[in-house]
Amino acid sequence: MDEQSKRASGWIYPGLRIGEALEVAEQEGGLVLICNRCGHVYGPVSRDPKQGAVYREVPLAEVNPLNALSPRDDMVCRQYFCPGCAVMISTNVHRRGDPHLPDMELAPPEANESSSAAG
Amino acid sequence: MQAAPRGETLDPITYEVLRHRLWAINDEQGLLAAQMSGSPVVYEAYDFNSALMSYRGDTLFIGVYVTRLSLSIDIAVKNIVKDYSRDPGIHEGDMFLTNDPWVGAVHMNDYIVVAPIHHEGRVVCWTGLCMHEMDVGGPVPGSFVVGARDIYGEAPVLPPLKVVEAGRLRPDVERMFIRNSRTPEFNALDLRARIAAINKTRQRIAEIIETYGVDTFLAVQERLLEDVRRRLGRRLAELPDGAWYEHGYIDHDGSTDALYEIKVAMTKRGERLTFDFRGTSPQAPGMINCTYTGLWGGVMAAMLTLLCYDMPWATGAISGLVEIISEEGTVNNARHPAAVSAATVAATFMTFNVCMQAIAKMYACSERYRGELMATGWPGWIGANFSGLDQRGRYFTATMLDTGGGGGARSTRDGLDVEGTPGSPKMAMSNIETVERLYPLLYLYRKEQPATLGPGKYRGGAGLELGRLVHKAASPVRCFVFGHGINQSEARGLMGGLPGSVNANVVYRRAWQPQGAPAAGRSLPGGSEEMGAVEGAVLAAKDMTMLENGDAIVTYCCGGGGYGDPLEREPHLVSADAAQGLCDVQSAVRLYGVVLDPQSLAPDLLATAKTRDAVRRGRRGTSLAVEGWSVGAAGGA
Repeated sequence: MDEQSKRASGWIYPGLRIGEALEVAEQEGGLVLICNRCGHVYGPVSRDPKQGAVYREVPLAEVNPLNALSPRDDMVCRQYFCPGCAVMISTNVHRRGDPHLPDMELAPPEANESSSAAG
Repeated sequence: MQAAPRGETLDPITYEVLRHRLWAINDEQGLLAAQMSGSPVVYEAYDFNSALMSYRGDTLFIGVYVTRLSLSIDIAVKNIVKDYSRDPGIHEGDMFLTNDPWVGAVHMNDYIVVAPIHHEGRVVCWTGLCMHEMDVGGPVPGSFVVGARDIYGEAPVLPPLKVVEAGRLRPDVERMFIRNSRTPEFNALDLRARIAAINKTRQRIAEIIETYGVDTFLAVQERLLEDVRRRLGRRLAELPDGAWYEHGYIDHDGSTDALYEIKVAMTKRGERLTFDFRGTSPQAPGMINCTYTGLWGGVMAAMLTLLCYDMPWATGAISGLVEIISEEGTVNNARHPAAVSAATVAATFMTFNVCMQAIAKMYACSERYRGELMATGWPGWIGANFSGLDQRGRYFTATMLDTGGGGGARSTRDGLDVEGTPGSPKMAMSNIETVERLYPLLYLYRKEQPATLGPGKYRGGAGLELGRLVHKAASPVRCFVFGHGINQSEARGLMGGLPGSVNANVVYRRAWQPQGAPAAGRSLPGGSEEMGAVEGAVLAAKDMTMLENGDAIVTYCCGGGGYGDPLEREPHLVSADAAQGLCDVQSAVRLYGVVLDPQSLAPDLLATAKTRDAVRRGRRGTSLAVEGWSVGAAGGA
């Protein structure tokens, strides 16, 4: 498949930007997600990038003063950062202490290739 | 059994002419009904929708009003065909009326009328109209029953009944429909409006058949379904394969202030999408549940909005590319006799939100479609119903459709400030003048509230703050509120954007008296900060309070979620926000790390760079490694 076709299709290829600060790169024959600001490697494309990030929990009322009107004090905004350059790559709203939830798991390249071939 | 007509035998010009004509007929049906309705929630706020279906009951066109209302009309048709074909039979000139959420309605206020359209004795298509009735009975005015534990404590449920038989309105069914309502005049007119509009559609379809022939008409239906299936399949094939996850909460079940979670794992493989809701909370002992009809409507509304924006909304075709996995007995797939009176604005709404966010995350992984994504906008419903004696001494009950939240941020620009209801392109906000004429309410103000928006590289839109005053009521006014997104923010950010605010209702007692001095020296308060020394009382997500003349209720509607790290927002955009009153100098630093000159509001780029560096150092200093990982509802891709 040529470069133009890849970009128009669902192909996952090195250089593909994911959102703002993530990018697909090739490393040791496999595809990984990296920080396109500092090069930090989050992990394989098939793994949620937050697993390779760092995070902090901020009470919702600190994110926004209006949130202080909420009767609950156990809700937090979980913020995920690149460990290298601290760019924020994801946020979520949780009860304090709840397990982390993934955002995305891109299909491994083999599955990507076979489904494209089938389509 | 009819032989399936072959769509490919149509010439393309005839197909395009008839495709557009059918779209117009469906739109005309909805608008005609709205114009004949006497209910302001229908003729002003456009809380209705229409659907045109194939001879098999597959949806060909969904109207552009409140999509969620009509997305399960086809389910009602298929249930009627399954259950009633033999007895009482489905005949020319018949129309069926139902509000049964286990048959095809979403909640009891949204009565559906569906009708087969015949030609020479056989069904050639179906049509249907759904309208939100102001009140359909039950213990609470407006029929959103805060405190109900199951459906027996809510409004009456009507399984499909023949309301028109062989072209004749059945007065017994009409009377049953009207008898239970506190707003019988509105409901009666709405029923006649639906019947008249459907009769007009019958006339229009007959004109098409007379001109083009029935075989062509049936072939257009097949071709339309094939086209949409092909176009959506192509779009899905252009997106990466993978799994995307989202979750959200519904606050308060009407009795207990608990959180109910809706989880989705959306998997895309080739041309197919699977929405897996396993892990969603069990159904609630209260009004917030929806049945499978609401689940289906929530998923389809998200797909129409983000994936099908440039193709006919033929969900009869889309359904062939989608699988929904859900456990019965959960909050968005509730078993009878669950309470469901707030289904449209609770579990269905939240189902829509999590699907929108999952699709947006998928778009974030595509160079081609990244520009189409949108973070969650105006996700948290904040409904209110007022009832009592109006300024003329007559009983009134009014469910308000006068709120509006902020739009979700896009990947290339900010969200809309005060957008309409998501997934409902032509729904509108009620006109203030109409509300004030009909009900003992006076609007103090309705304005954009900057504190509601979600910051990001591109920010979410600001939501509304509105103040309503009880004025000239002939009795104390009972106010029920039934919102969510009250206890926590539902306007999620995307790709590092921050969430928008919570929703809130705050009551200010004796905020203003007609003969007294205004609280802050003005003729009327212009914001909650001008309510003087009166202390506000924050209402729960589901609550009831009595209001006297002069009492005000202030409603904050959440803003949209942001997109991208707020530290990467261009400083001149922050400055522009400040110039528009959507940001102040302090919040520019706190949210974006942008230092503005207090007088000119121009950004100080050097100070901004230093501030942002300091914020990033702070992030590194306070962050932890990610542990305690949990896979999504589907257990991973």
